[in-house]
Amino acid sequence: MSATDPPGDRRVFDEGLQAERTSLAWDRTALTVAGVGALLARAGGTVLPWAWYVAGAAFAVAAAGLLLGRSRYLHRDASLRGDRTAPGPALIAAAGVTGVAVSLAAVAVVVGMALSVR
Amino acid sequence: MSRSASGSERGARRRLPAAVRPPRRHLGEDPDVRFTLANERTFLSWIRTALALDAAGLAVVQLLPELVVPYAREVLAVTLVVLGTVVASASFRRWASVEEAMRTRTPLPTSWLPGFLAGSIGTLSLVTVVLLIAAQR
Repeated sequence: MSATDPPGDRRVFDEGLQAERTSLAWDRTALTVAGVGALLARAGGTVLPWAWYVAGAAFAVAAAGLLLGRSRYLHRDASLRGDRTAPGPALIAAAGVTGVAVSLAAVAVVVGMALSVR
Repeated sequence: MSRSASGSERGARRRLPAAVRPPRRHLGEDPDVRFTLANERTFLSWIRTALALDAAGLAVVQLLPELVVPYAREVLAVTLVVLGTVVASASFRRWASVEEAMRTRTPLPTSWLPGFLAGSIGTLSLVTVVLLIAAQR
């Protein structure tokens, strides 16, 4: 970086693009949550009306995940430049809880479908 | 970090169940940020793997025809989504223990999960192939 660079340089900090790849991994995960939400509605919605609410919640969580993933990227970038401390484990824990919640919803839909087909 | 801060951190940690207990950040020193980010991406890959298992289970009930063995389709679907639940439940714990190992510069913990998952998916796939061929007859 030369002395003529303006303050708040927005060029990429890390040549391995680690932070950017991690940000994309958050995006992919959030989009997968939305996709499974759509599948929950498609598979269960006709027989189990609550599946629609679960799908709606999954879409809301996916949207929040995209926004929070972006914010985590900016936070990480600032920490690499020494402006902030590194982001903590809260969003990671939230992603883990989301994964478990979506999986339990899938269990409920699959079992509910199996029982209703009788 | 001051002693009182790490003490309250420990107190807060102890109240959490192991599945969502964060890594001990007062241990050791911050690892190379590339490794921190690689661990984060690996965790997210595990979450997506869990979600893919959920999607596979939902696709089985939605798309597969009735199989020759009664309830085989339903058992297959339930097994897949239960696997998804197991993988999702184990992911955070795995992330946190790798994070702690990197902080203390100890060898990364091994995990039964990849082997278990490979065996399960392989077996399920074989069973599905056999059942689908039988359904064509």
